[in-house]
Amino acid sequence: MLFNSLVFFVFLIVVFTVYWLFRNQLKLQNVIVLVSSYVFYGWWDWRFLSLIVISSLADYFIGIWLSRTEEKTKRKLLLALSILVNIGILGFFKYFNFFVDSATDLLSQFGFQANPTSLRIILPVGISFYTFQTLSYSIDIYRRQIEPTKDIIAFFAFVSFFPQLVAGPIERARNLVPQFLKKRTFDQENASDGIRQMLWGFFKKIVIADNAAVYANEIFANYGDHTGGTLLLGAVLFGFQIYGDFSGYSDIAIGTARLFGFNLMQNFAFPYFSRDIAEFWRRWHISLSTWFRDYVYIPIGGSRVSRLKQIRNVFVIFLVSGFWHGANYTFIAWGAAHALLFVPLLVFNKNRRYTQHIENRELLRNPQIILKIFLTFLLVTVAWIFFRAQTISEAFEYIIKMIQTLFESPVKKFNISAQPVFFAIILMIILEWINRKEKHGLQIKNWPVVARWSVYVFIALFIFMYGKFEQTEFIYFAF
Amino acid sequence: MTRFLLKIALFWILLIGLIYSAAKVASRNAERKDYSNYNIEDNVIITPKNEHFDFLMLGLSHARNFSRHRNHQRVEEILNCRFLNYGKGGGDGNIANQYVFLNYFLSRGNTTNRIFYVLSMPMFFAERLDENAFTYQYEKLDPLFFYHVLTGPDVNKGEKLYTYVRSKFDKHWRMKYGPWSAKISDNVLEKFDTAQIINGFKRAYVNGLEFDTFEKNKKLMRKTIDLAQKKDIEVTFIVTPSTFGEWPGHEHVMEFMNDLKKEFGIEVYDFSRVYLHQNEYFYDHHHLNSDGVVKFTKEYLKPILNKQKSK
Repeated sequence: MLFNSLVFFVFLIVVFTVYWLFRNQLKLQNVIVLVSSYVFYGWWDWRFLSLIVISSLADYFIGIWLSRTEEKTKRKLLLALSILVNIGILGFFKYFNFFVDSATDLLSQFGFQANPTSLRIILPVGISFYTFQTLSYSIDIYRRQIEPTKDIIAFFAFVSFFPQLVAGPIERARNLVPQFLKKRTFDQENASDGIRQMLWGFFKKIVIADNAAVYANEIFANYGDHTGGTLLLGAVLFGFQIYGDFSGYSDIAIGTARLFGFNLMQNFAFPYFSRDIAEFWRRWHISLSTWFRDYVYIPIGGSRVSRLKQIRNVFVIFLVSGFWHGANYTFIAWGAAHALLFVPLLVFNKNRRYTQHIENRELLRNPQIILKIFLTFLLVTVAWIFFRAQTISEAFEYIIKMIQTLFESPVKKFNISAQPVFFAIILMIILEWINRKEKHGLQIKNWPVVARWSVYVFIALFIFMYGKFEQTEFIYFAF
Repeated sequence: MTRFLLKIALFWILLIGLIYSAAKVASRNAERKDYSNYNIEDNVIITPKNEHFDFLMLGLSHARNFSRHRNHQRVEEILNCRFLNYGKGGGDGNIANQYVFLNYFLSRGNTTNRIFYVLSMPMFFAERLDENAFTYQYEKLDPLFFYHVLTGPDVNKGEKLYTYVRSKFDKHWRMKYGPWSAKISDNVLEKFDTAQIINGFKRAYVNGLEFDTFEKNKKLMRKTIDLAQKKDIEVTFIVTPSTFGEWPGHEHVMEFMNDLKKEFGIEVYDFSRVYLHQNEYFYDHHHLNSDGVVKFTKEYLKPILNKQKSK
């Protein structure tokens, strides 16, 4: 089921009503969440519910067994089993063909002709998200950071919680599981802000991402026909498309969860206002970056090792993160590009320069911040080309052509400044800048009521008039 | 909780009220222009209240051609009667929306003696016609019509209704304050081109003959006849001529028509082959041009009408 569909709208009303009818029955509420989550997922393809069940069952029991044993080897074996099940599912459904094709290519380089079995594997939606979520549960128990839950319904509901099931945020068990175990009350303030966040998410997805996609797709599909300015425009629009798409989804997910009394972690903290790449990665897809930080980067030494090893660790984390996004070398190249941009900051100890929000007075004192933001955005934009291109060579061709013909007059003019998407992007930048210290771009509850309601209605009208409702999928469903 | 729900309700009321008012204003502006069946492709705007017509024409573009290019007046003159044409061209027509228009026509207190339903074969077999979200985009906003679409047999209703309302904010409504008028050729077909015909078939039947869609549309056609007969309206099916004769799917539709004859006692006339290779009466291989419409009306439609009137 897609958030941007009529059926989700009806689904949400029904689930919300039934859920709060049983406000004093925690167990029943969890059952409602579980059933509705399975309906939500099964709407796409019910067969793949079995994978969620397998993953949930495995980690539920592994969690309990882990807590019952003190034996180190046994604990390690149990953790390995959890990793095997989750990464096994993920590896098979997402990476099987990639590895087979890569091996075939490699063998052919040495003159061997292999005829591998090629399987027509469908990538189950959200598989990268829920496998990571359940994996974090077992790892946290292994590390004795949390206690396992014996409430199977609560655990299954945690794994499959519909707002964040298919595209995150990837929640940590230590944050979400306890919320399933304690009584939830309806908080008017929280729910109202949830609605605001959902509205903002829909605006970013339906108006910005889907409209920017029209131009970005056209430019990327025919990049050979365009000159540098247009190619740069294509990359910039893709940057807004993916931000609108993914952060929009996260906002809808977090907002929806708040309607049910749950608080999910912030997944995007206005990343395009970052002053360098390190700050960008503290603000972009936070749930994934912190996951890799906690479960990959720190275990391999993190920053408490020699400089050379630190650099190695940075590359590992970025390459793995890139590969997580898809079974294609372009994603690995994208990760590598970010690693290359990050390493100089690490080497010169400048990777933690910007951990605070930009204050207005700071901006007045130091206007070159704007330039830093612009440069960071430009670097991120160029890196997106690897993410969006079909092959690495295509990405390089795109970049080279973009640079070589940057000042040539365009072959085909995209009068983007006359398009609603341009206005929408400007509006998004303004509102997110104003609310950059908040959790989302529409957190305007302190504004005067008339101004606030005018903004809500205006944004809703904008969605109505310029939104694309052709049921476009969210980009991150593919990851 | 109550306060929260009230706020949500207030928001929706405000939003829907604003959208409705603005769309209504845009539609009202369109009404100020002098639109009639012969200069507009839209049906809601030309549907009167409490009026009587000798016949109603339903179908796709092959029906609509009887009104385009002022053919409407020519046909009325030849037949010496008044008719309303709901045929929808440009890929916007299908059996479901013809049902909705008929229902809307009747619910506004209008009456008619008969329906000439012009059969275009793709209307039975092409699912994309049924799913077309833009089918009502040029119709003016009318709550009654909205209701009929909402409760009618259309598929993909949500998107159709959304497009119906949102289109009132589109450029053509905002800038020109008027619905769209089709710019359809009225020339003479220059040469008979088999390759072009085959291409045309491919475009009309992108997925070949879709028999699941055919079954659904057979039910809908029965529903349409049922609705008409309940109001004592006689239904006659007509296949208009083409330069090449029969469309793919023709035999299946005619078989179905034979069933309908037995079930409902309706009349069916197949004129597919009456102007074979007579390019001068067509602007493409299967659409009659104005000369063709006049000739066809005189030679075939008039006798049918006279025969039915004299019953």
